[in-house]
Amino acid sequence: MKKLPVNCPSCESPLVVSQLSCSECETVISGSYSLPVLLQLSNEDQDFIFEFILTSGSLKKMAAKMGKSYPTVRNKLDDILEKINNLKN
Amino acid sequence: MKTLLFKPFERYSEQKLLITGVIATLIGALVTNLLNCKFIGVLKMTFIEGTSIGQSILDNIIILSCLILFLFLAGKYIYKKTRLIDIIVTALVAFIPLYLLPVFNINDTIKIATENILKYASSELANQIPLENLTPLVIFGFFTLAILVWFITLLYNGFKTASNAKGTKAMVVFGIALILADTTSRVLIHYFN
Repeated sequence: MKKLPVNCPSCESPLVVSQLSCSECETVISGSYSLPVLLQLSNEDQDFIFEFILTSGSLKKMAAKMGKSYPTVRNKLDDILEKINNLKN
Repeated sequence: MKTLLFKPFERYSEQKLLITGVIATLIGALVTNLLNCKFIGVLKMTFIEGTSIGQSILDNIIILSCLILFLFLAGKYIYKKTRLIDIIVTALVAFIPLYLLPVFNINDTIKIATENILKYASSELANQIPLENLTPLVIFGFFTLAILVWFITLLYNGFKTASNAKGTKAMVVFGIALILADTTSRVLIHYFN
C-alpha cells in the first residue's frame, strides 16, 4: 500500500489536497482541502488508533494483543493524543 | 534478550513482573543472609555475620519501600497517570541483579580479603599487599560496577515506562528520587538495627 505523504518533501510544510478524481467517470474536483488530523499521523499511529477502536478502547486487551505491557500501550496512546493536540493547534 | 535484561517493563504484564519480583526478593534476602551480606541502603552492601533472616527481609522491605515511595512521588510529579503497581514492579525487578553480589562472598572470600588488605593500610606496607587478596577484590569491584549499571538501567527504564518520562527533566527527577531513597533507607536501617 502506498504511503500518503502529509508533509512537503521540499520544505516540510503540511500538504493540502488540491485535486480529487472519480475513478468511474473521471470527474475531477480541484480546490484546496486540508487533510484530516488523523491522516496527518504516521502509519504506525494510524494503525494503533485502528486497533484501539477494534478492541473497543480497551488498553488491556490491546496490550495483550500487541504483546506489550499496559503502561507501554498507555504511553503510546498519550503520545498520539499529544501529537493530535499539536496538529489541531 | 535485550528486552528481557534491560526493558522487561515494556513487554511483560504487571502480574508476571510482580510474581517474579516477590519471589526474587525472598530468595535474595535468603541468599544475602546465608552469605553473610547485608544491604544497608539502596546503593550500599556490607559484609556482616550474625544477621537473622528476619532482619534481612526487613532490610529489603525498608530499602524497597523507600525506593517505591520516592520513585512514585517522582513519577506522579512527571505524569499524573503513574500507577503504584508499575513502580512497585520496577523496584522489585530492578533489584534482582543486586542479589548476585552476595554470591561473590561464598566462604567469606570478599570479607576475608578485605580484612587482610586492611592490615596493609599504611604507605610503607601498601606495596606488600598479597595478590591472592587483591585479585578477588578487583574482580568483585568490576562486577559490582557492572551490576550497579545494570540495576540503574533497569530502574530507569521501569520508571520511564511507568511515568511516560522523557528528556533531561525526567532524568534529574529520577536521580533525586534515587539519592533520597538511598539516604532515607540508610537512616531507617540504622534506626531499626
